[in-house]
Amino acid sequence: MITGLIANLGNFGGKNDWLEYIVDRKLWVTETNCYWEEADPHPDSKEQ
Amino acid sequence: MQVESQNAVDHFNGSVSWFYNFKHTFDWQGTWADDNDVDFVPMISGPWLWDESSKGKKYFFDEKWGSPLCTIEDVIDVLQDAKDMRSNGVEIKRLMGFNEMYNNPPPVDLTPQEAALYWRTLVQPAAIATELELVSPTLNAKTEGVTWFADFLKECYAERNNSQHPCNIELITEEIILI
Repeated sequence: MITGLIANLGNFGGKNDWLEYIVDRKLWVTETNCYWEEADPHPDSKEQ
Repeated sequence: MQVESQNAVDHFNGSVSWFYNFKHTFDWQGTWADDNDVDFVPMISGPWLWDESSKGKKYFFDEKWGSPLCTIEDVIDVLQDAKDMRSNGVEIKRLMGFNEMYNNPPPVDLTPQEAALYWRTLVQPAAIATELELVSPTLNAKTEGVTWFADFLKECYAERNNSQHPCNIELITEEIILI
């Protein structure tokens, strides 16, 4: 994702530190998707 | 509350630090959140504010999505109400932006240009007023999500010196990616 973002951002606006900007953000990842599961919930990241 | 719902959230005890539900407040998960020190992150999921009592949409960012129109005071009010609801629980510290705005063609979803406009005129100033950190619009790691988010950042950055409503990408402290 970060590689794709950097490729898209290039040096837009004369900003040459988009990479630093992106990697300085905290990256949050969802533990589960938004589709309600009818069976037991899928294993979380600890169990996988 | 359904037993299945409680079982579902209990499954994540100890493995998550935040949760969201696409709304500004939640229904019953407060005890679970407090017991497990989990942050609730309110979300402005689209160009509208929710009416938490009726579960419908209450205010809209533009007439093409409905009426009445939303003001900055409306956004501040719903966020402050959300914070007040948690005054005796785990504090609300962040606000999450628009949800996966690349899944449907406009006007169902927001273009990056529209999202950046509403971000700098409504979302960002309301977050500042309520002392909430900003979490980016949500995206997945696929091309459509990455491209939309990059374009959103460009639009925001391009308006960094706007005299009335400057957009500040530095205020986005977290990026969220969906799996």
